[in-house]
Amino acid sequence: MSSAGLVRYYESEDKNAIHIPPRSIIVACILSAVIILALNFMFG
Amino acid sequence: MTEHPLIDRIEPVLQRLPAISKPDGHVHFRRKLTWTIGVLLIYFVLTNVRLFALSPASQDLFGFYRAIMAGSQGSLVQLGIGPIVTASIILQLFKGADIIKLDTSDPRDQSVYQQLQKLLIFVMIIVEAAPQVLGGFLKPDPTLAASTGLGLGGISLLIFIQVCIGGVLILFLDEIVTKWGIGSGVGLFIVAGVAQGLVTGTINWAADPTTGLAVGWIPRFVQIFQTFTVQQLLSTQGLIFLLFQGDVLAIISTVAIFAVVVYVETTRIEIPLAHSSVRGARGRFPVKLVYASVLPLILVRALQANIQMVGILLYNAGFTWVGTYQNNQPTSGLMYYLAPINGPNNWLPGLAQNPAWQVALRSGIDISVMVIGGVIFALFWVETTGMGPKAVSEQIKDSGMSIPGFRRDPKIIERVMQRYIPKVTVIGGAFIGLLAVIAGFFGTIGNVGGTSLLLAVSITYQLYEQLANEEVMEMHPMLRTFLGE
Repeated sequence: MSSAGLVRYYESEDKNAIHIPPRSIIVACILSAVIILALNFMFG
Repeated sequence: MTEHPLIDRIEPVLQRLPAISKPDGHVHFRRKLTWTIGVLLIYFVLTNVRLFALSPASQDLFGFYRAIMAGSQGSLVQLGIGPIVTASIILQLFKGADIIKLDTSDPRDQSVYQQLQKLLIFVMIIVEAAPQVLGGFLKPDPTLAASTGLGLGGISLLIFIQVCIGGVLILFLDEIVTKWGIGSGVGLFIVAGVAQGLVTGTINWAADPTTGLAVGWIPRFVQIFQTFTVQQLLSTQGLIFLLFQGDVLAIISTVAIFAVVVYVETTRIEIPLAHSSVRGARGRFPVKLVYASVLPLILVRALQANIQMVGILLYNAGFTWVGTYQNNQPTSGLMYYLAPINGPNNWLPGLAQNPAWQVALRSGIDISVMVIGGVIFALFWVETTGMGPKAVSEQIKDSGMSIPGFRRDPKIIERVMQRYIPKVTVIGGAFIGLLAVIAGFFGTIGNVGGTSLLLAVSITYQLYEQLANEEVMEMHPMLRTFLGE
């Protein structure tokens, strides 16, 4: 169990949950940033 | 497993909520560090991505609570950790008051608990984003609305979607740091914001629109010493000017908080332990003065922040019976008394706008809320995180340790722990709450706020301890097996 933050994560996790690899979140962050920056550049 | 009709009904939804996959085995210290720094960099990038189609006339609903809520006004991470904090308050209160009956030592209930908190965070993202857009804090750009043909409603929806995406990204970034990195994302984002505020408050030479002096205290000192002579500054008026406008009081207060927090972090009662079967194997169980950590303080301040946000929204909607506001600062009514003190401007005679009795009442309420709230949330925190006497005695027994001079019965260990843990939790919670209020009274460099600075210093100290532990474990892999990793 992690007790470092406000959100608690335990060892036992539901096997049915959709598992996302951490890299996908990093890619999603970069993609969202690039899309919004591009929109700001095109219309701003 | 505990029976709970409502939770049982939503369990199929909870089971399908996405989660960051866990590492298969041990993650090397260097890899953990890379993930932590990587997330921090991504976070800084996101705070600089301006929301598309946002009008510059928008206001920050979080205002003075920005340092606690993290994120950045008008950016993709507009909500910061707000939804996580609010969801945590609700869950702590519900679990603490035994409304949600979940046994967090049971694996199935653990899984339900962590998915329930995620669902609650998703709900809070919507609950916190919607009033900002609908309440006119995040305004749509009218020229863009006309030129794209989407209209103000369409553009507002676009802003709402972006804010929600930012909220979800913050949630998952926090999960990445917890599972793959060191510490937690929430702590990291608070420290990042406070550190940025401190640097800006030290070296920024841009002029403050209200005083005309530089924002940073170093260039401000240079300006002051160029404008006034030493004799002028040493007069009573000059000294008062230096103390408040020159930020001397804020510098003293900031240094004092650093020193006190680091001292308090190292203050602890140590309960001796000895291994029952391995002779000579000894250890200590530390009960720190701030046993419940400083995180419960975020919850108390966030509760005050949420009350103020409701006040601002009501005032903007034309309801003045709860209080009136000027530049999002409460000036009268119930909301004035419920607002925390943010620096000497709010209480010092001559600087504060309101009559002395009103200031005294507001200060009294602030101190009471922080001290009592600090104690309540600390007690709840200890129970929900498995740091209570019962859970600790089980852990000690499972590790094969016992208290020398006492029987190896968990009930006996629990009784010894019962003597210390609840008392230390109450004293620690009250002390840290009072410390945060005092820090808030005197102000800090860069106006980061007393509570935020206290949180940042404490989180950094704990991060340093964690880094040291990780490094030791890398050097001595035997320790890892001993600690059950």
